[in-house]
Amino acid sequence: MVLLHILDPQEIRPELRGSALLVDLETDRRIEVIPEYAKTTYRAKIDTHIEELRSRAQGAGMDYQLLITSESLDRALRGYLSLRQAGN
Amino acid sequence: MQRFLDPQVLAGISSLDLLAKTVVDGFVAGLHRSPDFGFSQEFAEYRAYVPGDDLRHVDWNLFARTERCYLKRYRGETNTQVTVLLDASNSMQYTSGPPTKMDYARFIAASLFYLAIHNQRDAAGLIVFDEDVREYIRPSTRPGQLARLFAALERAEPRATTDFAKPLRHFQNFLHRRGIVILISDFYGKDRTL
Repeated sequence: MVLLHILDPQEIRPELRGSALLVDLETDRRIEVIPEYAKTTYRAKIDTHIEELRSRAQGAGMDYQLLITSESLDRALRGYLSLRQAGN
Repeated sequence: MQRFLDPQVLAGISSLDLLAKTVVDGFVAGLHRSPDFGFSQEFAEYRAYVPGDDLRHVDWNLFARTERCYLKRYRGETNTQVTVLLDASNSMQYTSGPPTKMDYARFIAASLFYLAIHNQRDAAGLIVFDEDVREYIRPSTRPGQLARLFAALERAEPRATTDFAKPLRHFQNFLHRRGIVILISDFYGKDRTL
């Protein structure tokens, strides 16, 4: 099993010019965020989240790939061919 | 070739069918030049036909001469099956510029399906989920399977929240065979059920 983790560039390294109101698209919860938070606390949190997901996936014997929506698609296709060759 | 794999360029292509073909043809052309993958269609052996085999692989010339039914096998062609589990919950619609995560996930799924079915002759299937299983297409290589998969991807508009537990249970019930399972998600959800 492979996990393909899809993130927008702004989700992994948000760049805010001023304070912003962020809306949770699933719960509609709103929080106000200042650029310093995005640069420091948020980055640390998302990095931790990604690392956690990666290590839990690998711990469960799964492959993990982080894909950013601005990146080209060939990494995902390569991953599939490698798995195939490995005899899955 | 790289240009055809650029998601911003792809976001301008309206048909998933054309998009997948463009991506995979470009990708495969690149592979042929690289030594990493034996993307070979090199003839390896004949194997006797057993009921259920895809008739497209039967060597009809041989059949005409000998009245025996054999499949042509190619090196590197151990057919497998691939199932994509696609998260279509609301958070997938987020974007800071095209494509959205949902569209990007669709591009990947469509390209994987095309590569699997068209190039590798693997069976491919799809589960679309949010907090429930919304759509299930059983892995197959039947004619029309690609079109069915693409249509399901087109229908996969983001809504609701995410729950990984249900699709994974569903997956266990239906797909006990060997094969590759690819879970595409932003892993945005309140729970840690995975």
